[in-house]
Amino acid sequence: MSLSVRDLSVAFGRRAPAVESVGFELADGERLGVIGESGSGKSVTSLALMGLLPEYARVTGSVSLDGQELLGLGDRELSKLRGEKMSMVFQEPMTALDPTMRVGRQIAEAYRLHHPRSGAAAREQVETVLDKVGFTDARRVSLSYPHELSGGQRQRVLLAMAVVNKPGLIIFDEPTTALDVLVQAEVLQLIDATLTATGASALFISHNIAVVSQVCTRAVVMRGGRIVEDGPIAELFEHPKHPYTRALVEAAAHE
Amino acid sequence: MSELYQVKALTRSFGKVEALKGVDLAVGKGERLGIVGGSGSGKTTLIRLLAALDVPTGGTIVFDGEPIRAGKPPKGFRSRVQVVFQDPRSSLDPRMKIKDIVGEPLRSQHRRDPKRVEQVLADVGLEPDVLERYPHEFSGGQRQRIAIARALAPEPEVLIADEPVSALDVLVRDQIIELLGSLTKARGLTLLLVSHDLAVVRRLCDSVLIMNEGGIAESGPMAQVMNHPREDYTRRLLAAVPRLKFGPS
Amino acid sequence: MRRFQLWAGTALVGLVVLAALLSLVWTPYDPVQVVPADRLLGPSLAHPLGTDGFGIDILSRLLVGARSALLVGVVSVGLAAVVGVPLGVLAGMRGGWVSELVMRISDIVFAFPALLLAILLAAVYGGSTATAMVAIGISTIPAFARTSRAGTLEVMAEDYVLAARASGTSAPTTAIRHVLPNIVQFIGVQASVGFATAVLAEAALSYLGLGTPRAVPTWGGMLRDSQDTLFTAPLQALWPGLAIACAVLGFNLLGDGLRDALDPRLREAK
Repeated sequence: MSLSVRDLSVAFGRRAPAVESVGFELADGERLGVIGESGSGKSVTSLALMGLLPEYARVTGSVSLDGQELLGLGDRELSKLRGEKMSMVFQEPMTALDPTMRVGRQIAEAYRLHHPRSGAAAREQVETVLDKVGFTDARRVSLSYPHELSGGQRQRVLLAMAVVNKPGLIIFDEPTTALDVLVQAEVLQLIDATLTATGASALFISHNIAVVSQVCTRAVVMRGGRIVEDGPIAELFEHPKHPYTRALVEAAAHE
Repeated sequence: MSELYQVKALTRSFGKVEALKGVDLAVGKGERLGIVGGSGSGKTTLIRLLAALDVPTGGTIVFDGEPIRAGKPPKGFRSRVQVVFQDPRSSLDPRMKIKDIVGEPLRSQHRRDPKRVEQVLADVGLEPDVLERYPHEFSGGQRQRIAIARALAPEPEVLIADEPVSALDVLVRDQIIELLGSLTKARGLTLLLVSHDLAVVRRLCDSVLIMNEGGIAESGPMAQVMNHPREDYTRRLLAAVPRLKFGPS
Repeated sequence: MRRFQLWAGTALVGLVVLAALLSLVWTPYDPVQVVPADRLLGPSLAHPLGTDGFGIDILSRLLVGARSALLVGVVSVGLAAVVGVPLGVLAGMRGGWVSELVMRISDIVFAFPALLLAILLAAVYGGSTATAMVAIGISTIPAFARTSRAGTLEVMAEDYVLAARASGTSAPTTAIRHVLPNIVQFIGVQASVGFATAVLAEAALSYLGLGTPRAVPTWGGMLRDSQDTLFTAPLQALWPGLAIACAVLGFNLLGDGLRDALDPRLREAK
């Protein structure tokens, strides 16, 4: 799916805007990195795209998904799109899952939202999708509670939930930040494979430019609510123009 | 190098879970040791024991010739060994002024030394006008500077740092690593640095301990472990570090 | 807004305190002298709030009633807090069997009806305001122990407690410097709720003859007396009701306002 964001601004109350005149294009099947530190507005941007900002946020500009304008849509229309056309993977896999519900049921519910009256099919879907995200024992995992799984396994469950309805766009918000290095490498590989297999477009939000460089082909660099630089990854990191991008690249090269 | 820490067959279990399965370790005076491992490797458990903030299930820890018994550290230990925690949002009491936070380790030794507090704050690059302010008025990086100042206030010999930069932004992180490096070098501190990030450890330490599943997978001088890892686990760990695919030319 | 809470709370509580102080030196009429001729008068210049079923000036009784409301509220809540908070903090900090013991005992006290306790105390020491306060105080201890323990557990999970230990701060000092200041908001809320229940419980106990003697004016007692004439003179119930609401709201606002004023994070930035 293609995504076109134009002149997007978000403000909360009377404070200075959290996001200001942000614009980018995401072609079908493309993976765009959104690089920024805390307070850069990257997460607010992603929540604005999903229509998940609180009521009192003032959002202006345009966000269109395959030509359909999303800003101004009511909650009911957005709910139809969420999960079905676009989905999101959050940073903290422990809090993003309901601790009182078996993970299989959580995935099945995500599926049923868009496929009502699909009892047995939903159960089948759960195992298929868990299989896809690399679980060899899908049945056992689907019967587990979140706390019985490791951080990496939980993140894979979240990925399964995000892809169960085969959305055309997946937004990843710092999907590996809470994981340790070895698990991070695994999950990144899995994200890469899943995106390749489904052909979904992806928005990949991260403060870690090394991670972005491994998953994305293009990236925008955000700071203080604005995009300071954008371009293809190779171009951006080999010849950074903006001093901020340069500083980020140097810090990453340091490590 | 004389030995500061002598650790033998150290174990720590939480219920049925064995977080630490018999660790032997020696840390020399002035050594800068990095402790690396994934989540659940036991690295945080190990340094909490070394900081006498937890009681081992078995084994012994000898600090400078004196054993730490049942969490009761020898006299002077609490000022000689200081800890910097991961998340400066959580490690500074939100209801205390900066001067009280940084002065706390001095106060517990019944020292009142406003000059010293100002001095260490200057050492970490903060102006005296921060004294009367509260933690929430500062950014993550500044808070970590305050936490470092608190640790340095009683002039410790050992600094234990638990993931000191992993909660910080990339650029700030760089500055705090620099700061930790220069401060520990200038004072000849013994540094025990826990991190899941090899890059951080590589910049600050001269020897490294790789932990896996509650045991030591590999240890040795930094260059040797990084360039010629002996263990398969170390090799996998090194390979997993995300690298910038394209770099500045 | 926060300033408003603090000021409104101070004003309402101040009003109650003023009424109590004033009643010590002056009331419009004798608050206990029965005047059969003046029964159930409506509000007038002579009696701004009217008179009750015994012909006693309501305003006078209301002023005097403020004394026992404050006394009962403050003493029983104070008693409960002084015993409950340290127990809760101890349980939260020590954990293990200490926590189990404290919590089980507080469960038992909690399950024991306050009324039964009051009857017991009244049987031994005779019914009075003091026995009522002690009975209410004791039965409120578990609430304070529970909230303090829950708050302490939250604070203990923060790294600054670990940092304090690492720099050699002793457990009692940690409790005073770190734990108490950070749970004070929970205690404040509990205290304002406790104050409200104490005023009402005292009224109930007095009604049963287990608390303040009937002749002594209390807000709860006035409420009880108004029952008989509720349909003919509904204002009778309104005044003491308003007074109780005013005190309870005042303590609530004051509690919230103080909590915010004491929290450096919530202080309004200049």
